[in-house]
Amino acid sequence: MSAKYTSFGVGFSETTNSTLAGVEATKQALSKAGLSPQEAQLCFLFCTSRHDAESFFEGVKSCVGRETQFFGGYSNGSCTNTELGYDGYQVVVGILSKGDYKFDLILKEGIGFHEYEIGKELGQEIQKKDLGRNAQMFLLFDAVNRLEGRFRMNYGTPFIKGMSESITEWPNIIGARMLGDMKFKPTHQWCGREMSKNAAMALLFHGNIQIDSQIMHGCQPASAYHQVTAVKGANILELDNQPALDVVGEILGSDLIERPQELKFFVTLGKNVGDKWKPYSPGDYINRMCVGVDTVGKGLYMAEMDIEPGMEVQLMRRSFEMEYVSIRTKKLIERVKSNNRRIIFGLYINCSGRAAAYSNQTDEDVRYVQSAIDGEFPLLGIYEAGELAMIKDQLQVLDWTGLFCIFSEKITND
Amino acid sequence: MEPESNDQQIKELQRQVKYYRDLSDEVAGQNIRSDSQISLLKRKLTQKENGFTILSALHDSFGQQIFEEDFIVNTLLLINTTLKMDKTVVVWKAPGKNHVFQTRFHMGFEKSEVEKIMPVEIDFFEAEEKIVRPFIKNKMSPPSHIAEELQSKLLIPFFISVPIRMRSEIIAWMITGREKEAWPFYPILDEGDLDTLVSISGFLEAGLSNASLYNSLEKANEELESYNQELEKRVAERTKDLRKKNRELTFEKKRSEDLLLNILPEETAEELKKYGFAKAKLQENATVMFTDFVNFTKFSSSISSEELVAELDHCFRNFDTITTKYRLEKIKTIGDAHMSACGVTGDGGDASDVIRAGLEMRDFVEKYALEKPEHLRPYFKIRVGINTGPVVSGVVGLKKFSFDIWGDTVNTADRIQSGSIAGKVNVSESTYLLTKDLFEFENRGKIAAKNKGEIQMYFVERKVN
Repeated sequence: MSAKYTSFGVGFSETTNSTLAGVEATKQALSKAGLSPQEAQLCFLFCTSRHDAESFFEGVKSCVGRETQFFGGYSNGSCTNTELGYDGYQVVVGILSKGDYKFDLILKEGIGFHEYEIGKELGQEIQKKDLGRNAQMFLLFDAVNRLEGRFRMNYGTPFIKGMSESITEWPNIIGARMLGDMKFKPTHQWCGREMSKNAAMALLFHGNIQIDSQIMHGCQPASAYHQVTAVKGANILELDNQPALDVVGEILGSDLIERPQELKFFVTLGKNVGDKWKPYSPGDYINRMCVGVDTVGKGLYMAEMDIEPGMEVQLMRRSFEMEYVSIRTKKLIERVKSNNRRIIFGLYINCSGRAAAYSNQTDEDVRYVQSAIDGEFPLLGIYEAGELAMIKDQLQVLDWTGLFCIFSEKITND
Repeated sequence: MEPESNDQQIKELQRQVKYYRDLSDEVAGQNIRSDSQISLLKRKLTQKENGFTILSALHDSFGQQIFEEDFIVNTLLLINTTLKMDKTVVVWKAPGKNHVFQTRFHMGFEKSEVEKIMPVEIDFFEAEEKIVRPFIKNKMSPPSHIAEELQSKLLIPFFISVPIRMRSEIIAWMITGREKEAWPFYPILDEGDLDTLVSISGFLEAGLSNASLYNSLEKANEELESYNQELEKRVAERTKDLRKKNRELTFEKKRSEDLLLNILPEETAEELKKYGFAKAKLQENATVMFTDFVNFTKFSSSISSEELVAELDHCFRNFDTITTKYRLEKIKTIGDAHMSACGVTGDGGDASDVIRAGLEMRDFVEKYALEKPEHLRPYFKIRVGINTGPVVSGVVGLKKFSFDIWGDTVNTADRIQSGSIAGKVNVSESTYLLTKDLFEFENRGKIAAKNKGEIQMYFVERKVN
């Protein structure tokens, strides 16, 4: 074991010049980590789609060593301990030093229309590493499929299904589905030393490093349970044996049925995996946002295709208490520290829709995370289109959720 | 419990369940609708707040010099990032083309798009009428020629277009908008957004006026600076000219003064310069000397006039040198006669200096004679006569001033000269008495002088050793 602890620094920029933004953020990150360019082992990098991906990458690369490896992609916004912004020219760079850990990077391109296959191939590569459940994984995949021009979401459910068929023992996983803006422009990813598109990728840590996470649920059940009675892929065709659109229209107001493209933004369905009659427990719910309306089939296109006939769902209110975010953040920090672990950095993966500008919140939940950390360790945050976390030993894609993660190392007495 | 009663109870419970279930859904619907309404209202409020943030940022730019390009580019950046617009462009009135506007500033376009939007020309006309008011193109807008033109040429599907005016004339249009309109992330552009952008364009107009004003001031300053430099150059040239002229003037003045001093004694010259006239003064102790060439009339007939004048000039130049050496005032020449004096300008003078000058003049002529052919030598002899006494000195008349002395002392001096002989310096009694200890004299006794009777005369032989 190393006597020296792992170092991490974060840099942020909103400069419109993409190269310069990359340079600014990387230099800040190196400076805060107290590292020379050559000491940068792993570089996390994210920028919005307003930036030119190639120029930004060149800017970042110009500031670190030739051996530095990269992991990141587009995000709709980003944050650090003090900065926060989205839908602008935000970029964030996090730099990790060498430590008492090792890592592998795996990239699989071609996820569009082939989520299951890519998930399976990625799973096979992970399985080959034979790292077992002690491995810690940061998983990212492209949310945007514009291979045929029109936007189609890359679904996490088949992707995870593919992975689960290859992996015999799940490592500890956190992750995100990436997008660079709310218009779903094509995105870019960076993995290793290369820039990529339409890809899924995994960062696999092993050694003295651990990821602990806390899901910040954002929805509360509002309606009675309704049974899903017909589904086609991600399209819920029927609820309670009636056209799904009619059911939700009846609940939300029939006038909305005449404006179905508006209706979709009101609908979030919750799947309770706990006891359905127990008081509300956020950890028992998996939320699904509606991303489109099938006016012909009177169905609802959901962000994931994990809702099956026979399941009972509830209409959810997109609402959460900021104090809840603060308390949960502090609790996780205390839990990690109480296990004799030193926090290297925090990662906050937030649903873009939770940003105050797009929700009915008046505050930014990120501010409460920043406040709870209070500068104790570096924070790198990204706004994406779906959060990946383990719920009841099963990897899930979550909607309208914040996922606070802590990367830590065991304190040694060497 | 009766089975019928149980069935009724179950039915009742089922009714209750349905009631609460429907109620729950109804409340859920209301709550979700309310949440969305709040979200929408908050979105509008936030957009207004963002608008004010931009106006406040623009306001902060005032009070100092605004640079047109920086100001506009910063404004476009603020619009895109704060109002969540995707693209903003400013088209400027094309020079020499009425109503035609060309892309000048842009923000949010990809490199390939910039190449497409830069060369476009847009004619702000609709149904043959010039467009002067701001307008929106959103999902709900009816089709229009200008909206289609802007959409296709500037690659912005949904936008707000606002004019930018200077001195009541539209000089540019700002077009800002989104690639997509989808509630709630990208709500439809509305009148509220239009108001915000009209306000921003107002600030742009003020900023451009400020920039223009500062430009004018800078231009005026530059012109002033250039004028100053030209003026300084001219002044330097003029000064150089003046210095040259001044030097010339000083030189001329000195020449003039020297000339004046040649003609007049210094004191008389100063008096004449100061008052325009010089008062004649009685000088008690003047010593007057006359020299005269012997047989000059005969000599003048034996050589040409030019040669004669040249010889006289040569001799008188040397006489002048000698009189200057002994601080005598040359009074004038009269034909071949040379008249000089001391003690005529109030400085007292010394008769012995006049005698020394007379002796030196005589010696000069005798020496000069040796340079001449034998037959001319007899003509190069002079008589010298000196007399001491009171004279009146000064300048008379209005033109061609000349300093002169008058009085019996002068006439007597002339007579003493006439009474001398070639190669001799002849002095009167009064001169003799003043200088007898300094020279050896030959007493000639009393000699007859024209209109003067007999006058006691002495030849100066030599200086006393």
